[in-house]
Amino acid sequence: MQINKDLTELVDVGIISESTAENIRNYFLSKEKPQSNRLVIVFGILGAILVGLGIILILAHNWDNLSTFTKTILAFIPLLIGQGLCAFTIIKKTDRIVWRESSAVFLTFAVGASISLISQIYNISGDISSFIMTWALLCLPLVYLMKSSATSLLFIVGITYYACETNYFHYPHPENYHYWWLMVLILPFYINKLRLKINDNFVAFHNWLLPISLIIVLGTLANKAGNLMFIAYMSLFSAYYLLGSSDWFQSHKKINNGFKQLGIAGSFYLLLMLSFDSLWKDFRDDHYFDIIITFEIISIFLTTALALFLLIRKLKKSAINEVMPFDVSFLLFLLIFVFCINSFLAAVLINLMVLAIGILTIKSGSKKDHLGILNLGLLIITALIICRFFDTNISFVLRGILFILVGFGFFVTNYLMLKRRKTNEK
Amino acid sequence: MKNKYLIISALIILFLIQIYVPVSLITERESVLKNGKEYRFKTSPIDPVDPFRGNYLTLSFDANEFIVKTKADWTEDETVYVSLKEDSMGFATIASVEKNKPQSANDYIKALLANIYENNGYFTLIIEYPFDRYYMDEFKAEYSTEVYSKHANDSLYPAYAIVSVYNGESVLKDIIVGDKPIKAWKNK
Repeated sequence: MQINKDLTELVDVGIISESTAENIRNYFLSKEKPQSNRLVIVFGILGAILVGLGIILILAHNWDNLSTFTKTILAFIPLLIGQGLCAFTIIKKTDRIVWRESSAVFLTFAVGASISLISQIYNISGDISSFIMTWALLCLPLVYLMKSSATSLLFIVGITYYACETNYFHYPHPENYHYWWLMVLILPFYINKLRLKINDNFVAFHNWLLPISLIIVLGTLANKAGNLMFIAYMSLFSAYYLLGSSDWFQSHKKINNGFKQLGIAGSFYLLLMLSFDSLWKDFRDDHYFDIIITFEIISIFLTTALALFLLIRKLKKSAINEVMPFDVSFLLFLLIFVFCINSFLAAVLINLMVLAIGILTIKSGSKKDHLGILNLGLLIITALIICRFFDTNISFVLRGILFILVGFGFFVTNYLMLKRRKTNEK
Repeated sequence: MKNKYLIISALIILFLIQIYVPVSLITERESVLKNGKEYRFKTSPIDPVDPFRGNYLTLSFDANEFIVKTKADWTEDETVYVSLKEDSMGFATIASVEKNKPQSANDYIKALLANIYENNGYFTLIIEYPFDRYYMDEFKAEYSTEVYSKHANDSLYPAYAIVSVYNGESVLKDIIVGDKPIKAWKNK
């Protein structure tokens, strides 16, 4: 360890005492332990995933030379080994995360291998979605009983694939909403983890995977009036942003706060799309009044209610001037959609919204003396102008002038901030 | 400690369910194979892949249409019960399609009414059978479709599937192409 050499040197020259050196050594030793533990957990889970997938692939060869009896025995061997490992873990190694995670992951794949081999032996039909559904349901209790986060992540991946397979990959498809109740079944595990272990690495993975899964699957609710899903998505992204900025996620690193990052990226992307008048023309052509209760309306209601709840919660806890543009973008968009859909004003107002977000971000960057935030604000405005660049109804001269102005904006604001920093340093 | 026993008990129940599901799949199929009547369905296979279960032949069957005089209350995607009979060549044809389980016979299949279309005042019900996959060795699957296409127009030995049928359940046993099981054809 490099620190040992330095500590010996510091003790030799009399800067620190031997006991202080010992304390420092102990501190670093205790700090290193979780690091190696984490590696063991990662390799344990990766090993279990690879071995499990390997077994499934080998069985998927469909060995013609083996008798039905041999194949049946083979179908149960990985399953029994996995169950044995899980039982051993619960009885003898309950406190060892690596044992809990890897044995649960191995059993998850063993269950998949077992049902797939039986399907092959008896030529059981049923598409991949019904196979995944059976598999997911047989492994869901493992998440709670083995307290296995990796299995929970696999479950979320599985049900997301299931929703895509049933709703996106096949057309026409029967309506299928099983994903939603399966998601409700896994949520208590995540919420509990969030409550108990705020900075757990697995929680960080959930923070990303869960919102991504919802973003992917929300679109499956689009039916007769798909354009209405813009409202649902905008509310979802605002809810993500509000959730990510709430006290529940305060202690999370930026990179681990998937809700907030996805909320920002999603809202911004949607607003840029909505800044095109051509999209609003599409909205005008749709007939919304035939729709009374559809899944689009239900999804709008639920996502907007969630975002509103989080917004009211935030307003109760903080001052009005702390409200950020992405906190309220869903409300503004909803108002524009309802009142301005038939007017050219809709796209204009959205453009003004994006511009305001850009300016407020620059202002906030300048206030915090943060070059990153300042340039993000400038990037937002640049993105808006690039979008307008493709609008053919704006004159070339005007577009050219706008670009030059923003270009200068980059130079001037960065220069001013650096200059101010230098003055402060003096 | 009490909590631990609770977890162990729940885990044991889960293990039993995890074993029960494949075992019940096996016993159901074995019962059909043992007690069921065998039917020969004229078929044409193609070769797709499932990421978890490997290569298989997708089968479409000639005996999948049934003509009725009125649309009555037939609806697409509903479960129907298909009773079978054999034609003069010994191949399966549909004797009747019903909404409820036939009481008099055992050799009927629980299937899906996939589509209904009208033609000259009559309605054709398109049936989707629950045995449209035949799993193959990954190195043989592609060759099997080649073998099939060579024998597609063979009027002496048409390709057919052997299906055991018992009390609504069915198990696909084998596919015969050119008068021998498709698995018996060796790669060149």
